[in-house]
Amino acid sequence: MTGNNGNKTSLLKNHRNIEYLDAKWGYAFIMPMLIGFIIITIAPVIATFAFSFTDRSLMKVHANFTGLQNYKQLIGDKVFRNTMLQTLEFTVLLIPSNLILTLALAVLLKEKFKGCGFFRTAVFTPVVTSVVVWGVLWRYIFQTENGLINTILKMFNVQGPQWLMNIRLAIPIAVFVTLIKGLGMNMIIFIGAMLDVPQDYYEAASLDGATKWQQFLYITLPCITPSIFLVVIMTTIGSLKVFGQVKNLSNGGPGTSSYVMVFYIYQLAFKNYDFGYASAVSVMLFLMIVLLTIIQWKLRKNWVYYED
Amino acid sequence: MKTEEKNNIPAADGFNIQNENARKRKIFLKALKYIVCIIVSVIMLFPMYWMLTTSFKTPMNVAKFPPQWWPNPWTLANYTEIFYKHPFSKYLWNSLYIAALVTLGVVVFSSLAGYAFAKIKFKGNNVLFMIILCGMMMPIEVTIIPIYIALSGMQLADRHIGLIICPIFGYCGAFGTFLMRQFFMTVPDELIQSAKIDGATQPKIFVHIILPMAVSSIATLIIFTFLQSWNDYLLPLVLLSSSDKYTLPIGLSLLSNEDGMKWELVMAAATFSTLPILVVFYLCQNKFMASLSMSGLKG
Amino acid sequence: MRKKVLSGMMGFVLAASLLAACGGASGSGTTAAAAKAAATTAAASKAATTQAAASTAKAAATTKAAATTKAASSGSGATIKIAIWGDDARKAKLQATLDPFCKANNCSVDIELVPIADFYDKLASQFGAGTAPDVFWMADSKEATFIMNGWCANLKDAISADKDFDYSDFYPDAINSTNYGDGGVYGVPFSFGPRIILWNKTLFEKLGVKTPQQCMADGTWTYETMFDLAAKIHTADSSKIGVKLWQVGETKNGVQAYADIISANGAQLLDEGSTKFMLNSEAGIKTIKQVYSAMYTTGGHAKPGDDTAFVSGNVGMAREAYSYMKKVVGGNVNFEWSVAPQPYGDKGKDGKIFTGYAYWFANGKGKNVDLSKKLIAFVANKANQTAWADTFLTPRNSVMSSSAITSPGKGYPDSSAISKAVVDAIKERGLFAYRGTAKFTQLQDAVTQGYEMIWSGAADVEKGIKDMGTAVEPFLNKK
Repeated sequence: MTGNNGNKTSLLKNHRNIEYLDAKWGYAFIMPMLIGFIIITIAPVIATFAFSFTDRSLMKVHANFTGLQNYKQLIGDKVFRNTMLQTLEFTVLLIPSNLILTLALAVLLKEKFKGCGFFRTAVFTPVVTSVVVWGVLWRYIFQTENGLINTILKMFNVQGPQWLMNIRLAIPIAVFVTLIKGLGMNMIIFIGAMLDVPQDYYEAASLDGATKWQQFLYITLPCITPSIFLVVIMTTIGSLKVFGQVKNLSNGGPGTSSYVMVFYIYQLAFKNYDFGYASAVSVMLFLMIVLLTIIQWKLRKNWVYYED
Repeated sequence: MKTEEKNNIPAADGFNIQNENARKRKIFLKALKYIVCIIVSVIMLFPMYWMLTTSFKTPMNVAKFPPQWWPNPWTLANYTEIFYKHPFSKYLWNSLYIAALVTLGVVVFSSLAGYAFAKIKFKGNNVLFMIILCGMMMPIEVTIIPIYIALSGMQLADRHIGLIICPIFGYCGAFGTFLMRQFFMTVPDELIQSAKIDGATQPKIFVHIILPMAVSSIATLIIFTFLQSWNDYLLPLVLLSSSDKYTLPIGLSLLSNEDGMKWELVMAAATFSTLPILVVFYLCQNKFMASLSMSGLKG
Repeated sequence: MRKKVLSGMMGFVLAASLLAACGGASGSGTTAAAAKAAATTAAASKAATTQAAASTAKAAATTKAAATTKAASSGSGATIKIAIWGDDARKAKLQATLDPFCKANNCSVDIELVPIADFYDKLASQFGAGTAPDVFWMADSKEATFIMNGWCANLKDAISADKDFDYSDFYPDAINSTNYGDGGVYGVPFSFGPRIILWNKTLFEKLGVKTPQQCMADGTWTYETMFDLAAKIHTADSSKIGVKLWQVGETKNGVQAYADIISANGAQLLDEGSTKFMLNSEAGIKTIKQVYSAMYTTGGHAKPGDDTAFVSGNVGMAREAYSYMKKVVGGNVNFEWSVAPQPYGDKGKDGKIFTGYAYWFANGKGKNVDLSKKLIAFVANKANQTAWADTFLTPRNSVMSSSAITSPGKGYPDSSAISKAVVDAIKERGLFAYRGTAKFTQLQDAVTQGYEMIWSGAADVEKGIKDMGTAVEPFLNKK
């Protein structure tokens, strides 16, 4: 103890030491995931960028460097433009409906009441089913002549439309099927988050005379904004990357009216064997997703609690 | 006497009526709640019901129209066929242990990384996290080709190691890190500060304080990761070639050949892949959705 | 310190991505060398690394070529990778069939089962990575793409040399269907699929509709009659489907679905060399209109996307492959059924019957090319293909005229009906197949999408066909 000054310096030193140690631990903790991630995920992403400047065919083992050729082709590609619009249509339809329905379900099923275990499991069931089986089952249900829905409608003397053979309905139906499948998972995330909100907040609020709805709006919602943020980002990324539902439900049809980006990429890579061009389209998709995510990330400080 | 009688007559004043109304409203809302739950459950469960009943049907009855809502006759032949004529027990074991390892890896590495990103100050925190987020954005349908080229170049294709490493450090790991970070953000800083003042190092803080709090998020992550790996189709399809290494989803699609889908077998296999997980979920969902310990710490 | 770590990471990342790129360029065996070479140059700028990749790829390629010739000469102890679709039972059967070959040539086979739905995706990825199997099946007109990209070995010498093969036993159209350009035989067919009409006797009798058998007897078995009967069935019982032209398990609106009715009416989708789109003719438009009216006006034909199977007992007539009969018999159906040849169109007996082929192919760039060729000559010889006649309909005279085809066993329709439907129809009308093009998959997709636009009402028949023609144009063969 060398007097006040000495105390301050040694305290400061301690503080800086702790911070330095902290940072070291920080790096240590993220290293395994980060390194693995760079090797397994980032490297192929970079490889895809590299391929997008070549004419790599899946059939040929050599590739020629072609510069911006693929990107120039993209600009004039009508299918690409429609695909992008259809993907955005899918996303715009899915995100709000997903969010609202899962929040509603979470509120409904978070309390323990008789049979809640059964209901929660019921909502979770589609999540567990494989995408292929799910898509095929719903394709069967939406069949025009003998599908389940049109059969039921027939009983009421209503002629059901050609669900999957209608260029306007193909995407909305894909949204519906995807929606039902994903509700369970997001519901669990929300229930977990809602149950983490301290009970005392609610007790204090009801003492002040707040209604259940007000409690939900002013306590529950704000406290679970980190989870809402998570779900919104995941749903955005997921819907921009949707593939399995479209492939098994309508195979991109009728025509190309339910082409989504990943489906188009898949067609280009595995059916047309045009891997260079497919990589270019993937790069465009990637940039689209990155852009949307960055926008959402930047905006998060405005509405997500705890993010300071 | 008269006063007592007076007291025994239910008072017609406003207070009791209010109680009556409140009670009626409560019952009405409760009934409404059950009705909504039942409707939702029916929609969600119907495909599963269809899967289940089809798996017990004879081939002819599968294609019947109007559809048979209840199998008649019941038959276990589909299940015995997938186990005796097709190596489904092998596929099951492969899927199981791969999913278990992937889940373990994801939980361990994501919680560590998620905590660090959420609570530890270090340079590049945000940027590095964004890198991980970005990894979720390239569709696997595209990156599978470079991955396959690289793995087969290293003679690591057609082995389970690829199926384990790729999800851990791929989509599942990224999602896990994101999920855990979001959860850890809600942990009060004071808790960590007080532990530091007591002289705890970060590892100690992580293991003794942070992890026990994260039970519900970890449970969610376990479910998510296990399912992703269990249902994964593209990765095993491209990476594996020996049929004894195949996983359940591949095994399922091997049941269809040039004559089309054998619905009854596919449904038997699908039910078989789905039902156990549902049972486990049903038994555990209360445990991890209750967070009695959590709220105490938060206040 | 941190800068070093970062640049190290960057270097590693570049190396890893080069590994991915180079791995494709140099094939499996020598990628390790390429990777090492790539890693040392990774510190340089991107331009330099691309150059380095190109040169390492060249170097790697020459070493690989040397290695391949060395491996190809010796057959001892080699393992031949075979990719097929099917289940374990089929794998075991193939293994047993190949046992004598393996013993005689001191080699072993490794049979890979791939789900048929993703068979070509997997094959393409394997080609892209250089890990393609030595022998593989191919069907659905995809072979042209693979042949034109130089992946397939010419099997002509091997099969001419094999004394048990009996080249002349094959239908000439079948064995020559892969002679792209140079008259070689790149694929040996093991299965072909002329379609027949299965019809539900019980349903016809119950609804009092004239049967195809009766129509054949009095010479009125035409497409018009067929749609007429179908309409009668559907009107009498709206839960039943009158007729279904597409098969179970195939693209509902692909090239195959309407090939027969188009050909029967004297039109054609593509010309013989697949150089011209021809559906735009009067006969072609008339045919599609005929199908459209059967779907939407008279209701006799199933609606697009319909998956109702013949085995359900709810379909009056179904156009299916010969092999589908096995499914009906195995399904223990509770109705009587029989088979009929496909109806006549405007061209009558001159309307050729459509077929596709499934082939054995050998990877011309694999490690065991000669041995693979010998294997195919063995597995596709007369005796072996006859032994597999209960699984696949093979375009060999010996197989097609055997009783195994016309009397497959209990539960099948009587042999005269099968004979009329399959063997006689082929003899009478002849077969045709669509010549493959380098981008045949895209051509098929364009055709499918064109049909879908017409059925969904987004375009009327004439415009739809015209648009299909425009879409198909870039994928045709050059004259």
